[in-house]
Amino acid sequence: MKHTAYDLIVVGTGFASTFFLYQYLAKRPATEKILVLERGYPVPWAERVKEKRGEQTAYTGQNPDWRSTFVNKQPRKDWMFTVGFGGSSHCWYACTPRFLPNDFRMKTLYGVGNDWPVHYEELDPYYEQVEDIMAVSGPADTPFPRKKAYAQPPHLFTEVDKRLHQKYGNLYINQPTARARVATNGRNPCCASGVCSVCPVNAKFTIDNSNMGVYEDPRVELLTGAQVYGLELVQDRVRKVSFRRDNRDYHVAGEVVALGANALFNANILLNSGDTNAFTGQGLGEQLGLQAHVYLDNLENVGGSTWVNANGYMLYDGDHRREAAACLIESSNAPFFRPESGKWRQMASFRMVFEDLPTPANYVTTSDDVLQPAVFFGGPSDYALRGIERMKQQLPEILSCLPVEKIIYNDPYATEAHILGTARMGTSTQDSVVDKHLRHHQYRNLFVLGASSFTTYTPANPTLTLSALSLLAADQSFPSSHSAT
Amino acid sequence: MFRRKFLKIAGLGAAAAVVLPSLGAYAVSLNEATAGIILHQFHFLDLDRKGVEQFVLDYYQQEGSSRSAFAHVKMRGYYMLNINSDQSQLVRTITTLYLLSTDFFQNRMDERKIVRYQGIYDPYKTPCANPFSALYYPPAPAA
Repeated sequence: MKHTAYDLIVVGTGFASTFFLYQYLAKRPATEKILVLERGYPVPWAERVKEKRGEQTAYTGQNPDWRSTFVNKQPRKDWMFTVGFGGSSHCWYACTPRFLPNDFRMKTLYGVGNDWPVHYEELDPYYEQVEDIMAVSGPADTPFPRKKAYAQPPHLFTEVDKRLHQKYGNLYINQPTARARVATNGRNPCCASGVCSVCPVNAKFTIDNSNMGVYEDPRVELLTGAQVYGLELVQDRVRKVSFRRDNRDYHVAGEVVALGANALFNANILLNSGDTNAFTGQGLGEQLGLQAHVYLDNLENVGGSTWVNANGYMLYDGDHRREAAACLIESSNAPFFRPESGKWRQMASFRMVFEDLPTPANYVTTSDDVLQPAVFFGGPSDYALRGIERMKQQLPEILSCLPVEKIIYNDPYATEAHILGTARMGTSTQDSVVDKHLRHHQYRNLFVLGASSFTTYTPANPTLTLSALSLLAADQSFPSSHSAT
Repeated sequence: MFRRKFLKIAGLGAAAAVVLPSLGAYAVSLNEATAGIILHQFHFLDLDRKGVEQFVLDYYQQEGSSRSAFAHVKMRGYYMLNINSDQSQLVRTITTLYLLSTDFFQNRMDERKIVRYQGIYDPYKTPCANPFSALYYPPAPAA
């Protein structure tokens, strides 16, 4: 480390940290000193592709597999993420739908969960900023309000998508995605290979290919191999950050600290530090998803230019959310087929993704090892399970514009690869850990970024929203050095 | 939910342990059972049988040797009971991977041709090979 004290210390280099830093740097003076602590190491895209091919590289084994990083008290439940520089930008599938305005008002509108302290309208300009940085591809008309066109044209529909769009209009749209439709900013067009965790053609947005300039900024000092495990909390402020590197413990002082690890590790750090907020570590969750295969009578479902071509909102918002979870439909375009003579693509495949709510059965605690959180998961809520039942009742009618022969439902997936909650957002310590600027209610120089802060677990993919929340937090929490001088 | 699923799986496992020996399930190897499932699923195609066997070898080599005894029993059970991909996601996954690993889609799904194995389908070695995507079915030009 170059210094013993910093103006800002950021933990992690994933979406939440990077977008927070991006906005912070835009507002702060050239004299600023910023330390970024990343537990993993960078791995270039080409080396990741080699690893996927089964080839040994100089980077193999540098970053641990997610399974080895925490104590999973429910081994049948997966919590997937990527350790290393760029975080889960190296495993996300780059789906970037916005939340619907009503997602932020679940208590007021439907009497379940809680309202978020931030509303859609306030987040809108930050959504727009993230979409521009990611060069998101999407349609002109969406079920959530937008003020300008997406940076890239939409991906192509399949034949089934075209029919559903014709019937449902803006409730069935080309999926907004950071998988490029056309070459942009060093990224190639997506060609529907269907393995987006590491894109074989470098089409999706990652922190590494973002060209955001954050980690090249001379004010930023990046320290890799440094795992943060605790904070020194004195008189309602964070004074120091504790981390381990090469088996040595370090303690570094920061004026402001931003935790941008995931929801398991943000909670672990807070709990290790003695945070006594009643909600810290509580309400861990994610969406619940399952695949529905739909066999079609004499309709060839070909085309589509990306992994998920479309999103359907027909089962998403409405009064049913008082009783049963919203469902977001994803039109899959992995290389599936129907194993019957002459009917190979007389089939559609939809991933049905259900929202959930924080429940007491799902939580994070510390373990005997300060570096490893213990993760408890009792299962999805009855609210989410009722959403599945409702979907199964209604899907035949929703698909009645298609010549449906049969619908086959798979069991739910072990994960949607999203880790939400554990430091939820709200108005006070009576209902939450952080405020709408992601600042801890008690420790006001501490930000807890990312999907940790989610109040409820809408079915829409979280990355766009958590990135926009980071921009909002940095933008509204710090004065601009330009206006100050 | 986990409890219900556990009971379901435990029930199936117990039933399999009782029923499968009487069906002769243990007389076939895991590889034979897997090949049999593929041959059954695509009974209407002319599959290169040696290619099917090679695919199964390659598949299990890639998957590793950490599969549970239950997984072995399950595959043998699926084989004995003629379970197809409509009934099992595992069967769908394996049979889909098999056909993607052949020349079937290069031959534009010509069911009269012998289907030959070409090596495990790997989008990292052959990206953009999704056989039904717009690359292979481009949209009609606007009138």
